[in-house]
Amino acid sequence: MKFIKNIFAASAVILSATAFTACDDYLDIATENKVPEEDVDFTDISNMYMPVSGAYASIRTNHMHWAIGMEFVIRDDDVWNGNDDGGDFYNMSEHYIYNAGNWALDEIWKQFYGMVKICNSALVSLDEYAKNITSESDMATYRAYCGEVRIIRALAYYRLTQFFGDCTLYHNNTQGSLRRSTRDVIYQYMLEDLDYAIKNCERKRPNQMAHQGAFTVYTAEALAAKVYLNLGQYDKVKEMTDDIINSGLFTLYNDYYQLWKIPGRLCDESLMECQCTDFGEGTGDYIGIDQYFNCMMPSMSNENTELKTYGGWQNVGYYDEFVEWARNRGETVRFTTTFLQGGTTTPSGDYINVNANANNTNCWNGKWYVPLEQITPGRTGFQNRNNVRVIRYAEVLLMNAEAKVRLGQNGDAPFNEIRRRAAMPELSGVTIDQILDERRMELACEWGERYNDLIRCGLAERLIGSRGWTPAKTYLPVPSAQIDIASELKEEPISSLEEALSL
Amino acid sequence: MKKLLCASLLTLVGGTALADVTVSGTVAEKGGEPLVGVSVLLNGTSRGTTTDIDGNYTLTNVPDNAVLTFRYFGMTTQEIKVNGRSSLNVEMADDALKLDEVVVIGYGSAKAKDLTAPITVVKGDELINIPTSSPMGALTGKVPGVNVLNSGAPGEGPKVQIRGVGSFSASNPLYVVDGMFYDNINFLNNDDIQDMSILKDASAAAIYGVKAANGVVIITTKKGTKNQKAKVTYNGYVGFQKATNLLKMCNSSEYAQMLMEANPTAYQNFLDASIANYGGRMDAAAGIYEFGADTNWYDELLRTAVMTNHSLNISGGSEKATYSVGLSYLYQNGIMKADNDYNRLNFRAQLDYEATSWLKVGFNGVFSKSTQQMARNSAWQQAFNMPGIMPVYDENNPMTFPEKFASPETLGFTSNFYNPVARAKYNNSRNDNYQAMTNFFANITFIPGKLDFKTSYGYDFSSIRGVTMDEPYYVSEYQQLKQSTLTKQSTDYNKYVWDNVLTYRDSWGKHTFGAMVGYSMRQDKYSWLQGKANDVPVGNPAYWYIAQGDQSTTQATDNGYRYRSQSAFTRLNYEFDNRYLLMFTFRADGTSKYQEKWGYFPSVGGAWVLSNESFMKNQRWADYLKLRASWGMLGNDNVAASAGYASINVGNGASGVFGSYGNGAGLPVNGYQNTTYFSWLKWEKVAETNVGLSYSTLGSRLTADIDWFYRLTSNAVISPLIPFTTTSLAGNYGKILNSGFDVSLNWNDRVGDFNYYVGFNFSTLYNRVRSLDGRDYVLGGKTINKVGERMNSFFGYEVAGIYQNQAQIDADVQSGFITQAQADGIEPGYFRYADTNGDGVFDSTDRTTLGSYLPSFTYGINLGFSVKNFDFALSTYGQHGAKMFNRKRQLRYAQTNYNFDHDQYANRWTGEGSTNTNPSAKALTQGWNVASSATASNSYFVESADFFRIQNITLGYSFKKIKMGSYTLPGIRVSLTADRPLSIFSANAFTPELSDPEGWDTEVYPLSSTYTLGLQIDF
Repeated sequence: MKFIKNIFAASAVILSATAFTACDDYLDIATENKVPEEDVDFTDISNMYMPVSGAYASIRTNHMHWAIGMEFVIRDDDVWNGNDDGGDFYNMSEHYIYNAGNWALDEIWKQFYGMVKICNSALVSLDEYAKNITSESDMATYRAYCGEVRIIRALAYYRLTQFFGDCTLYHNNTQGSLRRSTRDVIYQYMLEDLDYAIKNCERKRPNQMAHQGAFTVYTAEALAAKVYLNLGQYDKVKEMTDDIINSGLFTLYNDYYQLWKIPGRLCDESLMECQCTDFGEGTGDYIGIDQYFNCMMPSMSNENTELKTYGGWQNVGYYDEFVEWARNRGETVRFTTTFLQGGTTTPSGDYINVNANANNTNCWNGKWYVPLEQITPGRTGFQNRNNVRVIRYAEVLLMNAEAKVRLGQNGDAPFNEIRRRAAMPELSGVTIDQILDERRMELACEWGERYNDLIRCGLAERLIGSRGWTPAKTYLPVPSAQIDIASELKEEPISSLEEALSL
Repeated sequence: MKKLLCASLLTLVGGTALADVTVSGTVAEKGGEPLVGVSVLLNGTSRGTTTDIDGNYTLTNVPDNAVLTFRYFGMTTQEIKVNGRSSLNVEMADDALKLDEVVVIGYGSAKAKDLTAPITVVKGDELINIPTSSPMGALTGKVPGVNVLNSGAPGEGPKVQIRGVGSFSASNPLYVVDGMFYDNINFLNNDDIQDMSILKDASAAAIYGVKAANGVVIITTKKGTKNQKAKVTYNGYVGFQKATNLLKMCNSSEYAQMLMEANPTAYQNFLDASIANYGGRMDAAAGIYEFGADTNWYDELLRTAVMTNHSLNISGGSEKATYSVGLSYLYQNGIMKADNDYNRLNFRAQLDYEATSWLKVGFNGVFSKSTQQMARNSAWQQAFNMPGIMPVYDENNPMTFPEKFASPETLGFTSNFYNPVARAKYNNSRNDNYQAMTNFFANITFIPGKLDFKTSYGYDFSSIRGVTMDEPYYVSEYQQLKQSTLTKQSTDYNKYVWDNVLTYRDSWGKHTFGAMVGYSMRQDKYSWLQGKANDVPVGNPAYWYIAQGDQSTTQATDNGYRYRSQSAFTRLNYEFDNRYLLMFTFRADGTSKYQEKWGYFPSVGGAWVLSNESFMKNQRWADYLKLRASWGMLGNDNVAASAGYASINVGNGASGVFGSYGNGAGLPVNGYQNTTYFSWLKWEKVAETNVGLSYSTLGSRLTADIDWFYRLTSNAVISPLIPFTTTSLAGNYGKILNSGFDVSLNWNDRVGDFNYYVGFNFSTLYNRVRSLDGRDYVLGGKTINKVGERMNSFFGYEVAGIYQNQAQIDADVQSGFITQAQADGIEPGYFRYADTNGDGVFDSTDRTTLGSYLPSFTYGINLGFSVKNFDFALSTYGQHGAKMFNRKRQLRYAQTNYNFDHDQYANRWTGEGSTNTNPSAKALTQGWNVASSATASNSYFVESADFFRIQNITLGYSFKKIKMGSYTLPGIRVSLTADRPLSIFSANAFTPELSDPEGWDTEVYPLSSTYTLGLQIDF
């Protein structure tokens, strides 16, 4: 068997040729461009703010989706989607026809649950840090940080209940069943979060915080007051808002117009703000939320500024009736600030172009507008610099006034503070109707406050019923894309917090 | 039987018996012309020659007991004993079965008759005259079971699927070019290729182990032949491409009617604006719709474009060496009326040399340089969306520069409307590709004819230099660029393969045995570097440097990978008496890519040649009959090594900003977001069984190959969405079945001078998702994968009809089929959906699968003839059972007043009884009928992707032996080719051949018909 010998001989050649590479050594090479994921060093307490900062980022990246910004406001009696195009937004805005398959509805659900998940995992991270904490002062810091994250989580849940009413309590990121709970169960859970924050966060104004603009006890109280207002627990509303007012830390920013612009960022009126920055540089990175602003803005021009033109998508407009109503009230300061009317020039000298389509809106939301002169030279839009105001002291005053009146007390003092800044005559013995009107004007086009007022005060049937609103249209349907993934969303909601937490 | 296997006639002329003689003679086709270039070999030596232009040969010093082998492509090889004769004339016959043809298989070769697996061989000659930029494009309809989907974009290679799709990730086959592995062969010219072996089933492909799950195509580049004088051949064609099957859109008047029917208050102002700016008049009540502007955007975007190819080949060989060198140049202009084209220059060289009796060495290399100027495909979609009521140019538009394009803003259109011509023109993106593929081998013979060792080292370097320069322009507020942006990309691939193969073959009596063992190591390295800058000076490409831009805007980023693998493999084959064949292969693959490093891939195959059995001796019905059966396992490592995102996100995106107070600028505080979604993946596995037969009858004029296959992919990677997120996380969850028949039937005959052939091939495909690891379905963004249904099925509501009147709507509310809330949004002319689950209530559970982009039946017909100097060939290709999603139409969900295609206008519902299949103009603007989500859409948007096409018609005329003074030119062939001259399909599309694997029709570069004049000169 000579040939077998030869096979052996040849095999020896192969073996010798390959012997220098031992099998697994050759394959054992590091993955390119990937430093192995180091575990977070939970013993380094100085980094404990990192997960908290990440949770704040989620307000910017998740909450401020442009489509959600639109969906907040277009269902009330003052604001519409701005485009007479018969599309889903138009049908939602004008006829209360909700398409559960609409992508933007799905976006609301995903973005806010995205926030919830980031907050859930941030709290888990913070607990890991806590295991290495030895001093009581560090423990206090830990609790304050947990409080900040819980405020952000409560905010996300508040938005979810605003849109959907009953929704899932997602208390654990690896939770099995995603069955929904009732709105009130979610409220209960939120109030527990906020209560924790009130006990553990700092009693400061956000702009006094070391992390300037971070949330405080008062932010938590303001958010809790909003929940109590919806629940009709006016004594709690009063308790929360009194504490904010009595702290003496907050004042209304004097100039209502600039309140919304660059100078008004993080002023003493601000309780909750989503911050952005262009680093003060005309080029390079910025951390902003472009589309949120673009969506609602008209196109404008100014020959005298470095940036000559700016064009938004021209969505979201005020109804003419509302503009007339404001004019007839004698609004001046709030009128010029709130309404950006095509064919007019703003106090900052920017000309607002007339909408080429006469069927679409010609009046946009001035609160999100930044004058071209305030844009950092070199930047091509204002979206990358301005902050988004989320909760203001003005709203606290109005809630305080309403709670007092509802409880049979006099609400004139907080109410007239608002009126004074707006250069409107002071009133005495204010009524609920007057407060609601004041809210309508002061909080116009902010976060669906008007729609919420219509619902909680039973005004919807009368004011928007003619356009197709019925009590069944109060909330949006659960997005069908989510039911596709988790069919238990179709089941009846759970009505006890204990059961919801056991999922 | 045997005389039929070697169906040839030889004419033997007696001669004197001497020790060493000089043998000469003529080789001719059976009953026909002399054959040029037949190789004549003295068996047992490397000596030989080839026949000259008159078919003559002379071989000196031939022992009188020698055996000569006469070999010619496409004819049966003959071995003839000299028996001392000095004159030996031979007639060669067509080898219809190609039984003696040498087929390249992985790490070796085999004769066709010894195969146990279905392997289809395509010769380079069949590709040369087909005007495609990539060789695979020329394969359409030629090989059953191989589905080639072409793209119209210049230089863009086709999408190739072998025997269906068994992976959600990547389904392209493995290309092995002279031993080197590739994902595509777009760098090769059709004329670089000697032959391609398509290994369709697992038993053949298993020798390539973890790379082979989607089939393997082995490409051998051109080689010279021993003992052949230099053969110089020029091949070339020049021609033009023209778009076919133009999609007809609504003209301005029709568009206006649609809008006025849909919602006059919402849309009239756009029409009025067009009339105010560009003239015309409209009076809807009187039915007058006249527009000064009536642009057909597709006409504005399309042109007739040139395509040409030239190649020159020189090959030959001596007793010890063979060589082949070639160069080719291809140019393809794009049919988009913008700057887009492709050119490629290839050089190729091959040299094999027998250094000693035991050592043979060789080198070959291909260098390819190409430039692809890319078209902007979004212009195609925008041409579909933009109505004709605006001209292309508008001198009165003050803002526009550099060209005076008209702006949709003039009409009141906002962010979703663009000037498609401007979109196409304001685009400058090109890739320069340089690729060098080299291969060196040494073959050591230990025992002549029995034991060989071959070591070969291949190295491939390819480099892609990409430059995208966007210069400032202004068309509208929504279509503008304020600052120039320059992006440069540099992509490099470095690969090496070192193969060592020991081959042994032997025979005793009726037993023939072969063994191969091999070891291979491989490294694939990729690196990518990208730099960007804004505000780079415009006007001259010489300024296009990142260094010239605004330094504060420069950015750089890079990426790369390096994977290694090493493999050991073996193949054993055994044959008994030309009747029974057995083959076994095994490969062990180790790869650095995965956590789990080693995979093992066995295969077995057997064949039984019935026609060689004694009991078949006297029958007439089969000249040849072989039954084959095989089983094998394969892997697909074209899936990522891991999925999910890093457990911790950091950077600005995960950091809150603090301190943006008043006029100050805040800063991010380093943050992280911890969302742990991560999984390690492993390769996909395919197990395939193949049963088939090869058959010929009627004097070998009719041949048939029939194969049945059953291939099951397990561990298929699929990415279900994580609830409440936009993120999906991949896992090895899927099981996919592909099963079907590949059939090819060919008839070849000759009647006097008239040679002709007719071939028909088809393949069926049964594709089903078999399991998803316990899930019923996984819903993707475009399609659904549902257990028991086809992969990537469209999903949505089945349209049952059109509501003809309000009474029907009310009746559906009465019966509870739809709710009052739903009915509030419905008018006559809207869709009525089917109650597919039969529960009497219309809701999201009525969504159903609506077909998928995979055809269940594909077929090709090839026929041709030659008579005297004429030759003619025609091939067709068709597919059946596939569906496509008309995303172009469905995009209306985003903008209701986009233009309509003409069918939507012509077939629309206009009142009770007008149609029960097409919606009204108004319905098309409503969410009830046009959903935003593709997986909640409806069957109106799913169209048939079936088509029938005349793939290629070629008519040739050959001039033979042209006397030019003292020189005789062996031959010139002139040919006319029409490639894809006719396509028939019903979809509202330019073509049903889509680049999107899930079958979305959007932004598709139209396919064209190509007409060429070809010239082949043999010097």
